[in-house]
Amino acid sequence: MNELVEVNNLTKVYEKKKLALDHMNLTIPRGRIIGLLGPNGSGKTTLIKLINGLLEPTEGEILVNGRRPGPESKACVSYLPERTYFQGSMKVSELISYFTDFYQDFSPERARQMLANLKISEDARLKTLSKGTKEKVQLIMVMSRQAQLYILDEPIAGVDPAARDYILKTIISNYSEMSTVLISTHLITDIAQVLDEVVFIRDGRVVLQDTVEHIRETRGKSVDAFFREVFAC
Amino acid sequence: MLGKLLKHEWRAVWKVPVLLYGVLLLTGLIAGLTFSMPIWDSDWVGLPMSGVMLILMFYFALIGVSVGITIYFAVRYYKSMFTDEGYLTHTLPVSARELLLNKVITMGAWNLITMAAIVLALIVFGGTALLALKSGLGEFSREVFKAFSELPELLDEPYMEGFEGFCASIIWMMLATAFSGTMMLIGSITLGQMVRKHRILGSIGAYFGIQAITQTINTVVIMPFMFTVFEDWWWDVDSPFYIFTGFYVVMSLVTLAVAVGLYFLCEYLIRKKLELE
Repeated sequence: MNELVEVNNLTKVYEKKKLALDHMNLTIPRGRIIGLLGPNGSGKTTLIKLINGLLEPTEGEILVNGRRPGPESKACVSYLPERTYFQGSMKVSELISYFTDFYQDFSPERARQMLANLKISEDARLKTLSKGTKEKVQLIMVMSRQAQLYILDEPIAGVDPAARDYILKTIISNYSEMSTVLISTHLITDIAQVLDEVVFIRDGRVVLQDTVEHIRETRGKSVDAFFREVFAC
Repeated sequence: MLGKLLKHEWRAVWKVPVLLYGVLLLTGLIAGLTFSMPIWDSDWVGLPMSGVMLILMFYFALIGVSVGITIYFAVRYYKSMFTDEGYLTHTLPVSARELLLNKVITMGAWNLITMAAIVLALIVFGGTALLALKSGLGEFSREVFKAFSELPELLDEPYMEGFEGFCASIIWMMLATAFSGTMMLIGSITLGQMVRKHRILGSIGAYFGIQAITQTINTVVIMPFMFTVFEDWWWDVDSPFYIFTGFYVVMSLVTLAVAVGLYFLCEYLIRKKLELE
């Protein structure tokens, strides 16, 4: 089974009849780095939350490894939300112990190595760290798992260019061929270099799913230029 | 996984309640020690009022600690389940049942520990006060010890019949309240999340709603019991304790039943209606 995630006829309607996803169909294969791209409000984060079981679909289904979102799918998905989500009073070392206990695929050695590379003390409490450092710690925790699917929601938004480079380097160096990385972002120029494939979303529907190479060959444009063309206001 | 959840939850929460218990025990000790002051054996007119004020202050300290711990756990539940921290909580490879049981067991256990700490603080206060008074042996001390020495005789009075059963019903009610109080809190906060735009207001509204429902069920269940008591029983017994025991047992069973219902409702809402912002 090469499909890691199957999205079938997925619809999500929020309160006040706000349609976020509109009968979406999508297949996410294994072994790729995929950019989930679209303008604000196109449904990227809603789709990500649904894959992670943080929302319930109004209609349709999502299958991760053939199973609906639940404890089994969560065990093989490593998710980085677009916000600071660790408890501020925790120490970095406590976070390592937490992840070690709950995720069988978490490698504390890898986490410690990355923390040491960035000179982040394990004794530091999260609330004492700067926003950028907290984001790095979050990324280290997420990428220290040997998950089948990594979902990174806006991983490079709000960090400086040096940190962006570090994040992209971390993604590439920790990603294995059997796992897939799904990256949602607006900052296409920075991320395009690492992508194998892109999914364009507009108004809760998939408008394009193609490889970066094929876009370059057939359209004669970079992903960024093609994105601007497709989503021109 | 439930064991791991409990381990990390316990590790995250123990410091605040233990600090508050320390404050409470210290308050009990200091309040008790004030009885060693010579003023208690003086003729000062403000003495009875001072005694009442001292006991009231200690009482407020008990209430303050109890309310403080309840608020702490309510905020902890809300933050870890429904705010940014919920993104970690709900992406752990555990079921909604395990997440909820973890919270219920932890909060219920701390409710019981808080009750035990309050009893301990009362013992510390009372014990220190008695020791302090004993060392004084003035007129006030003699009066206090005289009153205490007469207590055992009270138990032989006809109106004290069933007092032991009444005490047992109080202990049972405390145990039941540890669980039902926890569920009242968890239920209110979880139900409040269904009011997506005003989640905190929704929780407060849900709390009063649940209270109103519980009171209504209590009244409906207790009413026939009251009629039975007053028609067939009231006139045949000398002691009111049998009746109080009956009321407490029935009331605690009703609140327990509501709590069990709330548990299953919360589990359903977390599994099927979770919508993190």
